[in-house]
Amino acid sequence: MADKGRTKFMSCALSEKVSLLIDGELPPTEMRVVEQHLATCAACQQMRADFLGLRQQLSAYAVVRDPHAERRALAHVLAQRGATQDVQPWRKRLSGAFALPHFNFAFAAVAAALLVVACVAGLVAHRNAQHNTAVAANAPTNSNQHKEAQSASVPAAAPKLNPPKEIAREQTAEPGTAGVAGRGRQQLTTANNRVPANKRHAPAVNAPAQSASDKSARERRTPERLPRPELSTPRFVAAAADAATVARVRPADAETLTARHVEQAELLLRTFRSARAATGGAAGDLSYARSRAQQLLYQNIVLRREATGAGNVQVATLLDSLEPILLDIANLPAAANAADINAIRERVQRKHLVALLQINSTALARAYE
Amino acid sequence: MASEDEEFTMLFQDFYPSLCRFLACLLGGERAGVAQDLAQESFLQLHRTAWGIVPPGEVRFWLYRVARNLANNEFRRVQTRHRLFDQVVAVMRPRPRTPEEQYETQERQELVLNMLKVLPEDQRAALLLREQEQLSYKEIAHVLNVSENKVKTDIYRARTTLRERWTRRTQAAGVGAH
Repeated sequence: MADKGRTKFMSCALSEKVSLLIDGELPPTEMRVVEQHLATCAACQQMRADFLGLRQQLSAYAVVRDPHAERRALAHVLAQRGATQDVQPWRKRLSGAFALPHFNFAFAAVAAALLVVACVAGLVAHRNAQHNTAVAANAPTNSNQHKEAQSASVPAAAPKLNPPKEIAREQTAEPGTAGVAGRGRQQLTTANNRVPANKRHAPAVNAPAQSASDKSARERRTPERLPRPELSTPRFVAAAADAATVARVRPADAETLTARHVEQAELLLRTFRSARAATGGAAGDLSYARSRAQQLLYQNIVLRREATGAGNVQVATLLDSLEPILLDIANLPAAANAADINAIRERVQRKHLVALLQINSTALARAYE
Repeated sequence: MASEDEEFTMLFQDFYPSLCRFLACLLGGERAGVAQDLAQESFLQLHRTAWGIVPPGEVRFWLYRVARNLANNEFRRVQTRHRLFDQVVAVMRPRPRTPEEQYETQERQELVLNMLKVLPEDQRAALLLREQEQLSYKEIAHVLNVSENKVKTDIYRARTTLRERWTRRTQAAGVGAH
Protein backbone atom coordinates (compact mmCIF):
# COMPACT_ATOMS: atom_id res chain seq x y z
CA MET A 1 0.00 0.00 0.00
CA ALA A 2 2.63 2.53 0.91
CA ASP A 3 5.01 3.37 -1.86
CA LYS A 4 8.29 1.48 -1.62
CA GLY A 5 11.36 3.62 -1.03
CA ARG A 6 9.29 6.42 0.36
CA THR A 7 7.43 6.83 3.59
CA LYS A 8 6.83 3.34 4.91
CA PHE A 9 3.78 2.56 6.86
CA MET A 10 3.17 -0.55 8.85
CA SER A 11 0.97 -2.67 6.70
CA CYS A 12 -1.84 -4.81 7.91
CA ALA A 13 -4.13 -7.29 6.27
CA LEU A 14 -7.13 -5.31 7.41
CA SER A 15 -5.87 -1.91 6.23
CA GLU A 16 -8.43 -1.68 3.48
CA LYS A 17 -11.16 -2.48 5.97
CA VAL A 18 -10.24 0.62 7.94
CA SER A 19 -11.17 2.77 4.94
CA LEU A 20 -14.53 1.02 4.76
CA LEU A 21 -15.01 1.37 8.50
CA ILE A 22 -14.67 5.15 8.57
CA ASP A 23 -17.12 5.35 5.67
CA GLY A 24 -19.67 3.14 7.40
CA GLU A 25 -19.63 0.67 4.56
CA LEU A 26 -18.96 -2.45 6.57
CA PRO A 27 -21.72 -4.88 7.53
CA PRO A 28 -22.28 -5.06 11.30
CA THR A 29 -20.44 -8.35 11.79
CA GLU A 30 -17.34 -7.17 9.93
CA MET A 31 -17.46 -3.84 11.67
CA ARG A 32 -17.22 -5.46 15.09
CA VAL A 33 -14.28 -7.55 13.92
CA VAL A 34 -12.39 -4.53 12.57
CA GLU A 35 -13.09 -2.46 15.68
CA GLN A 36 -11.77 -5.23 17.83
CA HIS A 37 -8.68 -5.37 15.62
CA LEU A 38 -8.16 -1.63 15.90
CA ALA A 39 -7.96 -1.94 19.63
CA THR A 40 -4.77 -3.97 19.24
CA CYS A 41 -3.20 -2.78 15.94
CA ALA A 42 -1.15 0.43 16.06
CA ALA A 43 -0.71 0.56 12.31
CA CYS A 44 -4.45 0.50 11.67
CA GLN A 45 -4.99 3.03 14.42
CA GLN A 46 -2.55 5.41 12.76
CA MET A 47 -4.14 4.79 9.40
CA ARG A 48 -7.58 5.59 10.71
CA ALA A 49 -6.31 8.78 12.27
CA ASP A 50 -4.58 9.83 9.04
CA PHE A 51 -7.64 9.07 6.96
CA LEU A 52 -9.85 11.07 9.29
CA GLY A 53 -7.34 13.94 9.11
CA LEU A 54 -7.53 13.93 5.35
CA ARG A 55 -11.28 13.95 5.58
CA GLN A 56 -11.12 16.99 7.79
CA GLN A 57 -8.87 18.81 5.32
CA LEU A 58 -10.98 18.01 2.32
CA SER A 59 -14.26 18.87 3.99
CA ALA A 60 -12.64 22.08 5.30
CA TYR A 61 -13.50 23.62 1.99
CA ALA A 62 -16.78 24.92 3.23
CA VAL A 63 -19.27 25.93 0.59
CA VAL A 64 -19.04 29.70 0.30
CA ARG A 65 -22.45 31.14 -0.44
CA ASP A 66 -22.34 34.23 -2.56
CA PRO A 67 -25.99 35.23 -2.88
CA HIS A 68 -25.26 37.75 -5.61
CA ALA A 69 -23.38 35.27 -7.77
CA GLU A 70 -25.97 32.61 -7.13
CA ARG A 71 -28.78 34.91 -8.18
CA ARG A 72 -26.94 35.72 -11.38
CA ALA A 73 -26.35 32.07 -12.12
CA LEU A 74 -29.94 31.15 -11.35
CA ALA A 75 -31.23 33.98 -13.52
CA HIS A 76 -29.03 32.78 -16.35
CA VAL A 77 -30.30 29.22 -16.05
CA LEU A 78 -33.94 30.26 -15.74
CA ALA A 79 -33.62 32.63 -18.67
CA GLN A 80 -32.38 29.88 -20.93
CA ARG A 81 -34.87 27.54 -19.41
CA GLY A 82 -37.78 29.80 -20.06
CA ALA A 83 -36.68 30.97 -23.47
CA THR A 84 -38.65 28.35 -25.32
CA GLN A 85 -41.66 28.62 -23.11
CA ASP A 86 -42.34 32.31 -23.63
CA VAL A 87 -45.13 31.92 -26.15
CA GLN A 88 -47.76 31.18 -23.56
CA PRO A 89 -48.70 34.73 -22.47
CA TRP A 90 -49.84 35.91 -25.88
CA ARG A 91 -51.71 32.73 -26.46
CA LYS A 92 -53.78 33.45 -23.42
CA ARG A 93 -54.66 36.77 -25.00
CA LEU A 94 -56.02 34.85 -27.95
CA SER A 95 -59.09 34.15 -25.88
CA GLY A 96 -59.84 37.83 -25.85
CA ALA A 97 -59.89 38.01 -29.62
CA PHE A 98 -62.67 35.49 -29.83
CA ALA A 99 -64.41 36.18 -26.53
CA LEU A 100 -63.76 32.69 -25.31
CA PRO A 101 -63.12 32.49 -21.57
CA HIS A 102 -60.86 29.49 -21.77
CA PHE A 103 -59.18 29.39 -25.10
CA ASN A 104 -57.46 26.26 -26.12
CA PHE A 105 -54.99 26.87 -28.85
CA ALA A 106 -55.22 23.37 -30.18
CA PHE A 107 -58.97 23.71 -30.34
CA ALA A 108 -58.57 27.01 -32.12
CA ALA A 109 -56.28 25.51 -34.70
CA VAL A 110 -58.71 22.68 -35.36
CA ALA A 111 -61.63 25.08 -35.50
CA ALA A 112 -59.77 27.34 -37.90
CA ALA A 113 -58.95 24.43 -40.15
CA LEU A 114 -62.58 23.26 -40.12
CA LEU A 115 -63.75 26.77 -40.90
CA VAL A 116 -61.39 26.96 -43.81
CA VAL A 117 -62.55 23.63 -45.16
CA ALA A 118 -66.18 24.67 -44.79
CA CYS A 119 -65.54 27.91 -46.63
CA VAL A 120 -63.76 26.11 -49.42
CA ALA A 121 -66.62 23.68 -49.74
CA GLY A 122 -69.10 26.53 -49.77
CA LEU A 123 -67.14 28.40 -52.38
CA VAL A 124 -66.90 25.36 -54.60
CA ALA A 125 -70.61 24.70 -54.22
CA HIS A 126 -71.43 28.33 -55.00
CA ARG A 127 -69.31 28.35 -58.12
CA ASN A 128 -70.77 25.08 -59.24
CA ALA A 129 -74.24 26.52 -58.75
CA GLN A 130 -73.32 29.54 -60.78
CA HIS A 131 -71.91 27.39 -63.50
CA ASN A 132 -75.00 25.21 -63.56
CA THR A 133 -77.15 28.28 -63.70
CA ALA A 134 -75.22 29.61 -66.63
CA VAL A 135 -75.49 26.29 -68.41
CA ALA A 136 -79.19 26.02 -67.65
CA ALA A 137 -79.76 29.58 -68.73
CA ASN A 138 -78.58 28.89 -72.24
CA ALA A 139 -81.05 26.06 -72.78
CA PRO A 140 -84.35 27.56 -71.69
CA THR A 141 -83.53 31.09 -72.91
CA ASN A 142 -85.42 30.81 -76.23
CA SER A 143 -88.74 29.72 -74.79
CA ASN A 144 -88.65 32.25 -72.01
CA GLN A 145 -87.80 35.06 -74.25
CA HIS A 146 -90.61 34.10 -76.59
CA LYS A 147 -92.97 34.52 -73.70
CA GLU A 148 -91.46 37.87 -72.99
CA ALA A 149 -92.11 38.93 -76.47
CA GLN A 150 -95.75 37.91 -76.11
CA SER A 151 -96.39 39.60 -72.79
CA ALA A 152 -93.96 42.44 -73.18
CA SER A 153 -93.23 42.03 -69.57
CA VAL A 154 -90.15 40.98 -67.84
CA PRO A 155 -90.31 37.25 -67.43
CA ALA A 156 -90.33 35.86 -63.94
CA ALA A 157 -87.45 33.68 -64.83
CA ALA A 158 -85.44 36.59 -66.01
CA PRO A 159 -83.00 36.52 -63.11
CA LYS A 160 -82.16 32.98 -63.95
CA LEU A 161 -81.33 33.94 -67.47
CA ASN A 162 -78.74 36.37 -66.41
CA PRO A 163 -75.48 35.17 -65.04
CA PRO A 164 -74.76 36.99 -61.78
CA LYS A 165 -71.33 37.85 -63.02
CA GLU A 166 -72.70 39.99 -65.77
CA ILE A 167 -75.00 41.73 -63.39
CA ALA A 168 -72.30 42.08 -60.80
CA ARG A 169 -70.00 43.66 -63.31
CA GLU A 170 -72.66 46.14 -64.07
CA GLN A 171 -73.07 46.62 -60.39
CA THR A 172 -69.46 47.52 -60.10
CA ALA A 173 -69.78 50.00 -62.87
CA GLU A 174 -72.89 51.64 -61.50
CA PRO A 175 -73.72 50.43 -58.08
CA GLY A 176 -77.24 50.94 -56.89
CA THR A 177 -78.55 51.70 -60.31
CA ALA A 178 -82.05 50.36 -60.77
CA GLY A 179 -81.55 49.54 -64.35
CA VAL A 180 -78.48 47.48 -63.83
CA ALA A 181 -80.32 44.24 -63.94
CA GLY A 182 -82.13 45.31 -67.02
CA ARG A 183 -78.96 46.25 -68.78
CA GLY A 184 -77.37 43.04 -67.73
CA ARG A 185 -80.22 41.11 -69.05
CA GLN A 186 -80.17 43.28 -72.07
CA GLN A 187 -76.64 42.17 -72.82
CA LEU A 188 -77.64 38.56 -72.72
CA THR A 189 -80.91 38.92 -74.47
CA THR A 190 -79.46 41.24 -77.01
CA ALA A 191 -77.11 38.52 -77.88
CA ASN A 192 -80.07 36.30 -78.49
CA ASN A 193 -82.07 38.97 -80.35
CA ARG A 194 -85.25 37.87 -78.75
CA VAL A 195 -86.10 40.48 -76.21
CA PRO A 196 -86.83 44.10 -76.79
CA ALA A 197 -83.84 46.27 -76.18
CA ASN A 198 -85.16 48.39 -73.34
CA LYS A 199 -86.57 46.14 -70.73
CA ARG A 200 -86.47 48.79 -68.07
CA HIS A 201 -89.53 50.42 -69.42
CA ALA A 202 -91.52 47.27 -69.89
CA PRO A 203 -93.41 47.46 -66.61
CA ALA A 204 -94.50 51.06 -67.22
CA VAL A 205 -95.69 50.41 -70.72
CA ASN A 206 -97.76 47.36 -69.99
CA ALA A 207 -100.20 48.25 -67.25
CA PRO A 208 -102.05 44.91 -67.06
CA ALA A 209 -98.80 43.20 -66.33
CA GLN A 210 -97.93 45.65 -63.57
CA SER A 211 -98.06 43.13 -60.73
CA ALA A 212 -96.16 40.61 -62.69
CA SER A 213 -93.66 43.23 -63.65
CA ASP A 214 -93.34 44.34 -60.04
CA LYS A 215 -92.65 40.82 -59.10
CA SER A 216 -90.25 40.54 -61.91
CA ALA A 217 -88.68 43.79 -60.89
CA ARG A 218 -88.15 42.39 -57.43
CA GLU A 219 -86.65 39.32 -58.95
CA ARG A 220 -84.51 41.49 -61.13
CA ARG A 221 -83.27 43.24 -58.07
CA THR A 222 -82.33 39.95 -56.56
CA PRO A 223 -79.39 39.45 -58.87
CA GLU A 224 -78.33 43.00 -58.10
CA ARG A 225 -77.83 42.00 -54.51
CA LEU A 226 -75.59 39.19 -55.45
CA PRO A 227 -72.06 40.25 -54.68
CA ARG A 228 -69.27 39.84 -57.11
CA PRO A 229 -67.71 36.43 -56.77
CA GLU A 230 -64.30 37.95 -56.41
CA LEU A 231 -65.54 40.08 -53.51
CA SER A 232 -67.80 37.48 -51.96
CA THR A 233 -64.89 35.33 -50.93
CA PRO A 234 -62.68 37.12 -48.46
CA ARG A 235 -59.09 36.83 -49.41
CA PHE A 236 -58.18 35.30 -46.09
CA VAL A 237 -60.59 32.47 -46.69
CA ALA A 238 -59.14 31.77 -50.09
CA ALA A 239 -55.62 32.13 -48.84
CA ALA A 240 -56.37 30.20 -45.68
CA ALA A 241 -58.10 27.57 -47.76
CA ASP A 242 -54.95 27.26 -49.76
CA ALA A 243 -52.99 27.20 -46.56
CA ALA A 244 -55.26 24.57 -45.12
CA THR A 245 -54.51 22.32 -48.05
CA VAL A 246 -50.80 22.86 -47.72
CA ALA A 247 -50.42 19.53 -46.06
CA ARG A 248 -51.84 17.89 -49.13
CA VAL A 249 -49.79 19.80 -51.65
CA ARG A 250 -46.18 19.82 -52.41
CA PRO A 251 -43.85 21.68 -50.07
CA ALA A 252 -43.12 24.19 -52.85
CA ASP A 253 -46.76 25.26 -52.75
CA ALA A 254 -46.61 25.74 -49.00
CA GLU A 255 -43.59 27.93 -49.33
CA THR A 256 -45.19 29.94 -52.08
CA LEU A 257 -48.17 30.51 -49.85
CA THR A 258 -45.87 31.46 -47.02
CA ALA A 259 -44.07 33.97 -49.19
CA ARG A 260 -47.38 35.49 -50.18
CA HIS A 261 -48.54 35.56 -46.59
CA VAL A 262 -45.34 37.23 -45.45
CA GLU A 263 -45.75 39.85 -48.14
CA GLN A 264 -49.34 40.49 -47.12
CA ALA A 265 -48.35 40.77 -43.49
CA GLU A 266 -45.65 43.25 -44.37
CA LEU A 267 -48.15 45.38 -46.26
CA LEU A 268 -50.53 45.27 -43.33
CA LEU A 269 -47.89 46.38 -40.86
CA ARG A 270 -46.82 49.19 -43.15
CA THR A 271 -50.43 50.28 -43.44
CA PHE A 272 -50.88 50.03 -39.71
CA ARG A 273 -47.95 52.33 -39.12
CA SER A 274 -49.86 55.16 -40.72
CA ALA A 275 -53.24 54.30 -39.26
CA ARG A 276 -54.99 57.04 -37.34
CA ALA A 277 -56.55 56.59 -33.95
CA ALA A 278 -60.07 57.64 -33.14
CA THR A 279 -60.11 61.22 -31.92
CA GLY A 280 -62.89 63.45 -30.65
CA GLY A 281 -65.66 61.10 -31.54
CA ALA A 282 -64.42 60.59 -35.06
CA ALA A 283 -63.71 56.98 -35.83
CA GLY A 284 -60.20 56.06 -36.81
CA ASP A 285 -59.36 54.15 -39.96
CA LEU A 286 -58.51 50.85 -38.30
CA SER A 287 -61.37 48.78 -39.59
CA TYR A 288 -59.41 47.52 -42.56
CA ALA A 289 -56.37 46.76 -40.44
CA ARG A 290 -58.46 44.85 -37.92
CA SER A 291 -60.27 42.75 -40.46
CA ARG A 292 -57.11 42.14 -42.44
CA ALA A 293 -55.23 41.16 -39.30
CA GLN A 294 -57.91 38.65 -38.43
CA GLN A 295 -57.71 37.15 -41.89
CA LEU A 296 -53.95 36.95 -41.79
CA LEU A 297 -54.07 35.49 -38.30
CA TYR A 298 -55.83 32.39 -39.57
CA GLN A 299 -53.28 32.05 -42.34
CA ASN A 300 -50.43 32.59 -39.94
CA ILE A 301 -51.60 29.88 -37.58
CA VAL A 302 -51.84 27.31 -40.32
CA LEU A 303 -48.62 28.28 -42.06
CA ARG A 304 -46.67 28.40 -38.82
CA ARG A 305 -47.76 24.90 -37.97
CA GLU A 306 -46.80 23.81 -41.44
CA ALA A 307 -43.35 25.37 -41.09
CA THR A 308 -42.87 23.82 -37.68
CA GLY A 309 -43.83 20.42 -38.98
CA ALA A 310 -41.49 20.82 -41.93
CA GLY A 311 -38.65 21.78 -39.65
CA ASN A 312 -38.33 25.25 -41.13
CA VAL A 313 -37.18 26.94 -37.97
CA GLN A 314 -36.53 30.32 -39.54
CA VAL A 315 -39.99 30.67 -41.00
CA ALA A 316 -41.67 29.20 -37.94
CA THR A 317 -39.85 31.67 -35.72
CA LEU A 318 -40.79 34.59 -37.96
CA LEU A 319 -44.44 33.60 -38.03
CA ASP A 320 -44.36 33.02 -34.31
CA SER A 321 -43.12 36.58 -33.81
CA LEU A 322 -45.78 37.90 -36.15
CA GLU A 323 -48.72 36.09 -34.63
CA PRO A 324 -49.12 38.09 -31.41
CA ILE A 325 -48.94 41.33 -33.38
CA LEU A 326 -51.72 40.18 -35.70
CA LEU A 327 -53.70 39.11 -32.68
CA ASP A 328 -53.36 42.48 -31.00
CA ILE A 329 -54.31 44.37 -34.12
CA ALA A 330 -57.34 42.14 -34.61
CA ASN A 331 -58.21 42.74 -30.96
CA LEU A 332 -58.20 46.50 -31.18
CA PRO A 333 -61.54 48.03 -30.26
CA ALA A 334 -63.52 50.03 -32.76
CA ALA A 335 -62.51 53.25 -31.03
CA ALA A 336 -58.92 52.39 -30.28
CA ASN A 337 -56.96 55.20 -28.75
CA ALA A 338 -53.53 56.38 -29.75
CA ALA A 339 -51.87 54.66 -26.79
CA ASP A 340 -53.07 51.24 -27.85
CA ILE A 341 -51.99 51.78 -31.41
CA ASN A 342 -48.62 53.18 -30.45
CA ALA A 343 -47.97 50.23 -28.13
CA ILE A 344 -48.39 47.85 -31.03
CA ARG A 345 -46.30 50.01 -33.31
CA GLU A 346 -43.50 50.08 -30.77
CA ARG A 347 -43.52 46.31 -30.51
CA VAL A 348 -43.39 46.00 -34.26
CA GLN A 349 -40.49 48.42 -34.36
CA ARG A 350 -38.71 46.73 -31.48
CA LYS A 351 -38.91 43.37 -33.20
CA HIS A 352 -37.92 44.91 -36.55
CA LEU A 353 -40.80 42.95 -37.93
CA VAL A 354 -41.34 44.94 -41.09
CA ALA A 355 -37.73 44.57 -42.12
CA LEU A 356 -37.72 40.88 -41.22
CA LEU A 357 -40.86 40.29 -43.20
CA GLN A 358 -39.45 42.15 -46.15
CA ILE A 359 -36.23 40.18 -46.10
CA ASN A 360 -37.99 36.86 -45.70
CA SER A 361 -40.55 37.71 -48.33
CA THR A 362 -37.82 38.45 -50.81
CA ALA A 363 -35.83 35.39 -49.87
CA LEU A 364 -38.81 33.09 -50.06
CA ALA A 365 -39.94 34.53 -53.35
CA ARG A 366 -36.50 34.11 -54.86
CA ALA A 367 -36.16 30.59 -53.59
CA TYR A 368 -39.37 29.44 -55.06
CA GLU A 369 -39.69 31.38 -58.27
CA MET B 1 -45.33 26.94 -14.22
CA ALA B 2 -44.67 29.10 -11.17
CA SER B 3 -44.49 26.11 -8.83
CA GLU B 4 -42.14 24.34 -11.22
CA ASP B 5 -39.89 27.40 -11.21
CA GLU B 6 -39.99 27.49 -7.44
CA GLU B 7 -39.08 23.84 -7.22
CA PHE B 8 -36.23 24.32 -9.65
CA THR B 9 -35.01 27.37 -7.75
CA MET B 10 -34.98 25.48 -4.48
CA LEU B 11 -33.04 22.66 -6.08
CA PHE B 12 -30.60 25.14 -7.54
CA GLN B 13 -30.04 26.86 -4.22
CA ASP B 14 -29.54 23.53 -2.50
CA PHE B 15 -27.00 22.00 -4.84
CA TYR B 16 -25.38 24.72 -6.92
CA PRO B 17 -22.76 25.86 -4.36
CA SER B 18 -21.62 22.35 -3.50
CA LEU B 19 -21.63 21.42 -7.16
CA CYS B 20 -19.38 24.40 -7.84
CA ARG B 21 -17.04 23.25 -5.09
CA PHE B 22 -16.91 19.70 -6.42
CA LEU B 23 -16.18 20.90 -9.94
CA ALA B 24 -13.57 23.39 -8.82
CA CYS B 25 -11.73 20.74 -6.82
CA LEU B 26 -12.03 18.35 -9.72
CA LEU B 27 -10.83 20.81 -12.34
CA GLY B 28 -8.14 22.76 -10.60
CA GLY B 29 -7.63 26.18 -9.05
CA GLU B 30 -7.20 28.16 -12.24
CA ARG B 31 -10.59 27.16 -13.55
CA ALA B 32 -12.94 28.35 -10.84
CA GLY B 33 -14.91 30.32 -13.41
CA VAL B 34 -15.20 27.25 -15.60
CA ALA B 35 -16.48 25.32 -12.59
CA GLN B 36 -19.38 27.73 -12.22
CA ASP B 37 -20.12 27.53 -15.94
CA LEU B 38 -20.15 23.76 -15.80
CA ALA B 39 -22.37 23.83 -12.74
CA GLN B 40 -24.83 26.02 -14.60
CA GLU B 41 -24.60 23.72 -17.60
CA SER B 42 -25.40 20.77 -15.36
CA PHE B 43 -28.60 22.45 -14.22
CA LEU B 44 -29.49 23.37 -17.78
CA GLN B 45 -29.06 19.77 -18.84
CA LEU B 46 -31.19 18.72 -15.92
CA HIS B 47 -34.00 20.87 -17.18
CA ARG B 48 -33.61 19.94 -20.82
CA THR B 49 -33.35 16.20 -20.49
CA ALA B 50 -34.17 14.97 -17.01
CA TRP B 51 -36.58 17.32 -15.29
CA GLY B 52 -39.69 15.40 -14.46
CA ILE B 53 -38.08 12.16 -15.56
CA VAL B 54 -35.42 11.55 -12.93
CA PRO B 55 -37.02 10.76 -9.57
CA PRO B 56 -36.60 13.57 -7.03
CA GLY B 57 -34.30 11.45 -4.88
CA GLU B 58 -32.02 10.81 -7.85
CA VAL B 59 -31.65 14.41 -9.01
CA ARG B 60 -28.63 15.10 -6.85
CA PHE B 61 -26.76 12.06 -8.15
CA TRP B 62 -27.78 12.90 -11.68
CA LEU B 63 -26.35 16.39 -11.27
CA TYR B 64 -23.03 15.14 -9.98
CA ARG B 65 -22.77 12.61 -12.74
CA VAL B 66 -23.38 15.21 -15.38
CA ALA B 67 -20.99 17.61 -13.66
CA ARG B 68 -18.30 14.96 -13.57
CA ASN B 69 -18.79 14.17 -17.25
CA LEU B 70 -18.59 17.83 -18.12
CA ALA B 71 -15.41 18.08 -16.10
CA ASN B 72 -13.96 15.14 -17.99
CA ASN B 73 -14.75 16.87 -21.23
CA GLU B 74 -13.00 19.91 -19.89
CA PHE B 75 -10.00 17.77 -18.95
CA ARG B 76 -9.74 16.38 -22.41
CA ARG B 77 -10.07 19.81 -23.87
CA VAL B 78 -7.37 21.66 -22.01
CA GLN B 79 -5.45 18.92 -20.19
CA THR B 80 -5.55 20.63 -16.82
CA ARG B 81 -5.06 17.54 -14.68
CA HIS B 82 -2.12 19.00 -12.78
CA ARG B 83 -2.95 22.71 -12.59
CA LEU B 84 -2.77 24.56 -9.34
CA PHE B 85 -5.92 25.35 -7.37
CA ASP B 86 -5.13 28.97 -6.58
CA GLN B 87 -8.32 30.45 -7.81
CA VAL B 88 -10.35 27.66 -6.26
CA VAL B 89 -8.79 28.43 -2.91
CA ALA B 90 -9.54 32.09 -3.34
CA VAL B 91 -13.18 31.36 -4.14
CA MET B 92 -13.91 28.38 -1.96
CA ARG B 93 -12.02 28.86 1.28
CA PRO B 94 -14.07 29.82 4.32
CA ARG B 95 -13.71 33.30 5.66
CA PRO B 96 -11.16 33.18 8.48
CA ARG B 97 -11.36 35.52 11.40
CA THR B 98 -7.79 36.72 11.62
CA PRO B 99 -5.06 37.23 9.09
CA GLU B 100 -3.02 34.58 10.81
CA GLU B 101 -5.81 32.06 10.66
CA GLN B 102 -6.41 33.07 7.11
CA TYR B 103 -2.81 32.41 6.16
CA GLU B 104 -2.73 29.10 7.99
CA THR B 105 -5.96 27.92 6.46
CA GLN B 106 -4.83 28.91 3.03
CA GLU B 107 -1.58 27.10 3.50
CA ARG B 108 -3.28 23.91 4.56
CA GLN B 109 -5.81 24.01 1.78
CA GLU B 110 -3.20 24.71 -0.84
CA LEU B 111 -1.30 21.77 0.48
CA VAL B 112 -4.28 19.47 0.14
CA LEU B 113 -5.17 20.76 -3.27
CA ASN B 114 -1.62 20.32 -4.46
CA MET B 115 -1.85 16.74 -3.38
CA LEU B 116 -5.25 16.22 -4.90
CA LYS B 117 -4.00 17.12 -8.31
CA VAL B 118 -1.67 14.13 -8.43
CA LEU B 119 -4.54 11.70 -8.07
CA PRO B 120 -6.04 10.10 -11.15
CA GLU B 121 -9.33 11.71 -12.08
CA ASP B 122 -11.51 8.76 -11.13
CA GLN B 123 -9.90 8.45 -7.68
CA ARG B 124 -10.16 12.19 -7.14
CA ALA B 125 -13.84 12.26 -8.12
CA ALA B 126 -14.70 9.30 -5.90
CA LEU B 127 -12.83 10.74 -2.90
CA LEU B 128 -14.37 14.19 -3.27
CA LEU B 129 -17.87 12.76 -3.51
CA ARG B 130 -17.23 10.75 -0.39
CA GLU B 131 -15.49 13.36 1.73
CA GLN B 132 -17.22 16.54 0.63
CA GLU B 133 -20.67 15.32 -0.39
CA GLN B 134 -20.92 12.36 2.04
CA LEU B 135 -22.29 10.06 -0.62
CA SER B 136 -22.35 6.34 0.05
CA TYR B 137 -20.30 3.96 -2.05
CA LYS B 138 -23.45 2.84 -3.79
CA GLU B 139 -24.40 6.41 -4.58
CA ILE B 140 -20.89 7.22 -5.78
CA ALA B 141 -20.99 4.17 -8.04
CA HIS B 142 -24.32 5.39 -9.35
CA VAL B 143 -23.00 8.87 -10.04
CA LEU B 144 -19.75 7.73 -11.64
CA ASN B 145 -21.37 4.82 -13.40
CA VAL B 146 -18.89 2.30 -12.06
CA SER B 147 -19.09 -0.70 -9.76
CA GLU B 148 -19.05 -0.42 -5.99
CA ASN B 149 -15.87 -2.47 -5.85
CA LYS B 150 -14.14 0.07 -8.03
CA VAL B 151 -15.37 2.86 -5.79
CA LYS B 152 -14.01 1.05 -2.73
CA THR B 153 -10.69 0.50 -4.40
CA ASP B 154 -10.40 4.03 -5.75
CA ILE B 155 -11.17 5.64 -2.42
CA TYR B 156 -8.75 3.43 -0.57
CA ARG B 157 -5.96 4.03 -3.06
CA ALA B 158 -6.64 7.76 -3.07
CA ARG B 159 -6.47 7.89 0.71
CA THR B 160 -3.29 5.92 0.93
CA THR B 161 -1.66 8.09 -1.75
CA LEU B 162 -2.69 11.29 -0.04
CA ARG B 163 -1.73 9.93 3.33
CA GLU B 164 1.73 9.18 2.14
CA ARG B 165 2.18 12.56 0.46
CA TRP B 166 0.65 14.43 3.35
CA THR B 167 2.87 12.75 5.84
CA ARG B 168 5.95 13.34 3.73
CA ARG B 169 5.27 17.03 3.25
CA THR B 170 4.30 17.72 6.80
CA GLN B 171 7.34 15.89 8.00
CA ALA B 172 9.45 17.92 5.59
CA ALA B 173 7.86 21.16 6.84
CA GLY B 174 8.25 20.12 10.44
CA VAL B 175 4.44 20.32 11.01
CA GLY B 176 2.39 17.48 12.42
CA ALA B 177 -0.15 15.67 10.31
CA HIS B 178 -2.98 17.00 12.44
